[in-house]
Amino acid sequence: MIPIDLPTIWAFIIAFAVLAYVVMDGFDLGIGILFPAFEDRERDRAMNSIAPVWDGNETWLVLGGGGLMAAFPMAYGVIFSALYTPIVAMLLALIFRGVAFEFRWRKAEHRKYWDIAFTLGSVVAALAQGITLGGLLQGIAVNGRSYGGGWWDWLTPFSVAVGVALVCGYALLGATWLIMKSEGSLLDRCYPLAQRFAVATIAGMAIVSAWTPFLANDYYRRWFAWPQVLFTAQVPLLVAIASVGFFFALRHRRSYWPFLIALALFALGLIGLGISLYPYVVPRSITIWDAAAPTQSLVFMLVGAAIMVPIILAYTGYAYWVFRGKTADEGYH
Amino acid sequence: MLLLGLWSLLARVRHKLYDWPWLHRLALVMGPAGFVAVIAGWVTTEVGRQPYTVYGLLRTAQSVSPLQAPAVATSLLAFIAVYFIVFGAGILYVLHLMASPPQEAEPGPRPGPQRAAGITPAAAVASGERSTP
Repeated sequence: MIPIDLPTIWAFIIAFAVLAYVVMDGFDLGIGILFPAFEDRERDRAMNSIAPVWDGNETWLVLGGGGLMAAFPMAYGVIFSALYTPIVAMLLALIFRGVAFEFRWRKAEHRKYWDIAFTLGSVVAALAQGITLGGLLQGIAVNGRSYGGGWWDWLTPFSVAVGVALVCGYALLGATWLIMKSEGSLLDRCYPLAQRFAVATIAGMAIVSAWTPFLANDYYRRWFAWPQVLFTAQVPLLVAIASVGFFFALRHRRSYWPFLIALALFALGLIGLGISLYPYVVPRSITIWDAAAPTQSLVFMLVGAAIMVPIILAYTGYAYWVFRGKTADEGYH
Repeated sequence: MLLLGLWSLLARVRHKLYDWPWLHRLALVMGPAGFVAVIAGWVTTEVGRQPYTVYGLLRTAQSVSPLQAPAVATSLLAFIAVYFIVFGAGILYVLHLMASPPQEAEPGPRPGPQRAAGITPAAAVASGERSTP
């Protein structure tokens, strides 16, 4: 019998949840980030294009965080204590942007305030998620089995750079989503926005990727040691190819390709992250095997995940299918 | 709350759901009952399990995270402030909705998938006080 490495399976499930979260909630956070660039009617349309799916998208965050707690409790304890400040900031920001979906329709004279709440909530949530990732990548002070640092340790130029890059990346996803889902003045506005945020996102990816190997010798070896550089070099190469394809698709005003290529850029970013991290869950101090829950727990939850995740994917896919195509003005004439 | 449920079930079976004023008055008064029940239940579990996090196994004092006190104090204050703003606005809008009773011949939601956020049957409520373009 082939030995089954449960912690690795769970690491992939959590990585999948993070990818699902980032690509799905990424574009709807992006629409919040882009909100100030739109006029009143365009805002209604942009928000309606994500109204049926945004809250489903956000639940992948729960699978990522909850899966980490259940499968790697020690890593959860260390990471969530170390990054308490950005994570709480993200949750508070998500509250504001979540209620803005409902509250902005209630009283016309309050709408401008809820639009501000929607934008600020989206920007802060995206920034905090990037800072969380940067804070993890740059390393966490571990003392025994728990966190050994202060509540502002995460704040460094590197973590803020990752945060800003992620805000640009989500804005790119939002702009390309609207290219796919909108028409008229909103569509015309989104092509130049997508162009600008694509430049910013690719620059951000380049800066973060070039910075990471110099954070620690371990990262440097993972990326540049012979012969695995033959494998790792494929990632930046594919990013370059995808970038060229993106600007080509944008110039030809394609509807679907810009969004799909933007998703591919995020998937490549996650693969790069996997190369930097695996098999560590807290860089250079805790591996997935150190942090794993007992085998019985992992098996028990794996059965649940194997049943529930396909069901969730099926109804999520169905929701996107029902609301496929361009979003017209529905309901607000 | 059970009584209200049974009473309205009776009204539904007899096709009198829209005709019994005292049922409507009770339903109106019972509006906040759901909130009260949820919060009361939450307080009961959280207070009742002390001093344990996992009842009989793990004490609350043993399960504290290595967080600094200012971090916890700041986040607690931030949550209180945010909840006051959001719940305050929510109560305001609930009262606002209740102040405009249903009208005759109001258009309901159209059949087919509805993409709209904040969908409410009454177009006048959904569009706020904004003049129609």
